[in-house]
Amino acid sequence: MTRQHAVLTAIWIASLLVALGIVEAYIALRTEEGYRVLLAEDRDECLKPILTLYASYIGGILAFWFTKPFRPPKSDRAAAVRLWIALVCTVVFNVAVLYLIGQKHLSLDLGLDTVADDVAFARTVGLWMSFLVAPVNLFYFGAKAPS
Amino acid sequence: MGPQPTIGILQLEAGEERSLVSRAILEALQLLRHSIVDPELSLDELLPAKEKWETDLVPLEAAEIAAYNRAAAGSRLPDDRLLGVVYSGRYEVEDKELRFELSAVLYQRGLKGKYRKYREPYDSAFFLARAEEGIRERLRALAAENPE
Repeated sequence: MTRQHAVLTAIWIASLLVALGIVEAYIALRTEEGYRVLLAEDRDECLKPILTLYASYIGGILAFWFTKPFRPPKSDRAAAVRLWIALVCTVVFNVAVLYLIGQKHLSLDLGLDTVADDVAFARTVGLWMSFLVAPVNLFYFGAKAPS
Repeated sequence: MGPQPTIGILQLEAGEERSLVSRAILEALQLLRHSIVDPELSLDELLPAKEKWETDLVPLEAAEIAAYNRAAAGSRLPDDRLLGVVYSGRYEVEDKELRFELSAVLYQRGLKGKYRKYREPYDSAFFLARAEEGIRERLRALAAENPE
């Protein structure tokens, strides 16, 4: 595994931690009127969809740290192109998901009725956008390093 | 502490029939901004006797929470969340006696959360008393409006 693989893995794990942090911040912070945006009792309903969404991607990435079933890119240029595709797709996916989860930190009027609805929608969008990251993760992390 | 039901018995004056009791309960709940959601009632239907009924959830206003906290200082309600109450009950009229069972259950939510049952101890007697008093008042008023 290269430093680029480590950076991409770190982006995925960091995005998961940021998503969990966004939900925890809804519970910890209060509005100007003194209300919590979310109660601790809502934690289960909000964290579960986030963990299940990220588990499938991060689980796959971690598995490819131990096994490399695919052939390496034929040239350094091909490897560089693969890196940029993987980087862009990963960033677009995670920014979209994190925005949908965290939009009520920008304004309480944004998004759906409740945070749980926002999180459920973010998970749905994440699944819709899996075409962006699932094959990229598979081939980028699953390919042997160029010799 | 919690949503324990209250059981009450009211002596009915002559002429107070089941329709009057049904109207009194419905009107008392309406004064508290509640409506019956179970069973679903049409406009001309009476609240069925001997059957359990339940209201919708009505959010408590800050003044109501403040009044509760003054009355039940030992089990104060928090001010960092939205609270709402659901009433449920049952009644029957027999031998000029209204027997009723009434429960008040508190629910809570954050500003952008879903209502869930309030799990901390609270004194439901405060919420039951105002509904019970409302029913008594409406019964008296309706009986006066409809003398036999």
